[in-house]
Amino acid sequence: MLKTEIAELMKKDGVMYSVAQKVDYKLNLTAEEKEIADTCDAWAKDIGERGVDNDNEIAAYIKRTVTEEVYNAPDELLDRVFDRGTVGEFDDYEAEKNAKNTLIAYEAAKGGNVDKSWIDFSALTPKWKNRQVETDISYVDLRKNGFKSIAKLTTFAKEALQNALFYDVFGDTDAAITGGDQLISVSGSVPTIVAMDALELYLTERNPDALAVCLTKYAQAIGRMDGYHQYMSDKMKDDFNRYGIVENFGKMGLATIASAHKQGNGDLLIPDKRIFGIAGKIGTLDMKGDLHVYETLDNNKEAVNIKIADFTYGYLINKIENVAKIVFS
Amino acid sequence: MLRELQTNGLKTADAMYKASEGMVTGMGVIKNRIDKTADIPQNGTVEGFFFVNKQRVPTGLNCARTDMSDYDENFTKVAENEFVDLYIPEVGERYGTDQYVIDGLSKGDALMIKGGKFVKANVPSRLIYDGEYNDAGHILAVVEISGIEITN
Repeated sequence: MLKTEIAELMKKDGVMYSVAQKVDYKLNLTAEEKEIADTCDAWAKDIGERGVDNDNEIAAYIKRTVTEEVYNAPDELLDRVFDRGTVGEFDDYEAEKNAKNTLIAYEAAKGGNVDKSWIDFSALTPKWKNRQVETDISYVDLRKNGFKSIAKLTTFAKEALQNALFYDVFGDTDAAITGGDQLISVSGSVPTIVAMDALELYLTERNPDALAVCLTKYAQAIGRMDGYHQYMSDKMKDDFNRYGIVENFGKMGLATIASAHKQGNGDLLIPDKRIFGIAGKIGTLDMKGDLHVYETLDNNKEAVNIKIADFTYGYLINKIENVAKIVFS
Repeated sequence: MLRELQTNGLKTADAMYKASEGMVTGMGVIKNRIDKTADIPQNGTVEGFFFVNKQRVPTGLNCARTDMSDYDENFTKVAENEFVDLYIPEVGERYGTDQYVIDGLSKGDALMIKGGKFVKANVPSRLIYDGEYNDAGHILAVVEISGIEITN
């Protein structure tokens, strides 16, 4: 009887996950959700008592929610910066760089020859990365906490994989900007009007819908830049005093990422001491294949080993000119 | 190439190390915990090593081919900084590897690892050479992990 109920619930997209999240974040559950939580509780305890999960329901539950919310989640910021797509598990691709016009027009006398010149194509291959999360749940946990322990697992697995992807991609974008107009250095740890103006000019010249991304501490510091208050309208000053951070600088918008939000290994979500500016898409980001969840029941140690594998993604940056950054010392 | 002729199942295979230089599956490597790389031991190593292996996922143009030999270079060559799977050898297990040097080897000799390859040992060792194995035309050396040390 239990199995059919769980199977039915799992068929509905997203129901199990949102209940898991609510339980985990201790929000109020509706009557229907309470029923779902109780059923899952009983189901999880059942597994903890018998040490058998014949239909591999834990793995199915984790795979369904993790696949829905993480792997194919349309992360808005990455959508702005990269062309998103998916390739099959055994596919690969390369991107062609548009050939530059490297033909040379020489000044010459009439009736003779000049040196030949050529154009060339080059192809770029994406950088593939594979991430994996492993953990275990003891049978004691399943019996004691029931539904709650699996909920925690799925929420954390989602966050770990998503954050790692985000940080990887932004870290490499950061490293690819090494000089020229795109790199604006500031000696000091707070933004200055000169630096912000340079960033805004570079980006909005390329795209009037440009966006800057930074940690919240820098968005706050922008509002307190030396001499900035004289350029703020009364409405801007009201907004800044009420919300504490600046949301626009000139024509460019400002997206903030909380510095309190850290990955499982303690890293920040985007590199510190930076303000990134995005004027348009800089490349492609593809997910490769499907996520796989493997479950091994260890009756000797009385624990379930869970392996969430094949979170594979590849990215290719071929228009780095669309990104600029401010670096603080 | 690494073939597991007789091995204990359900062991863990550490997948968190990168190759410190180009190598081939079937070699014996040691862990460099500071750089988090799998290094090729140059001196005669007889213990504390791992077998290198990787999953057979085709890359580049090979993605257009459905069937490929397990011995294809795409599957056996490991590039520098590529992540590898490290297999732990246990007593009683038998592995087949083509990363060996046949000079002077006869059945029952002790082996050691030099430059990643299995060669005749000049020190006591638990690795035994148990002859050659023909894997569909490819010749592999059988390496058995013994419970006691043998001296050549």
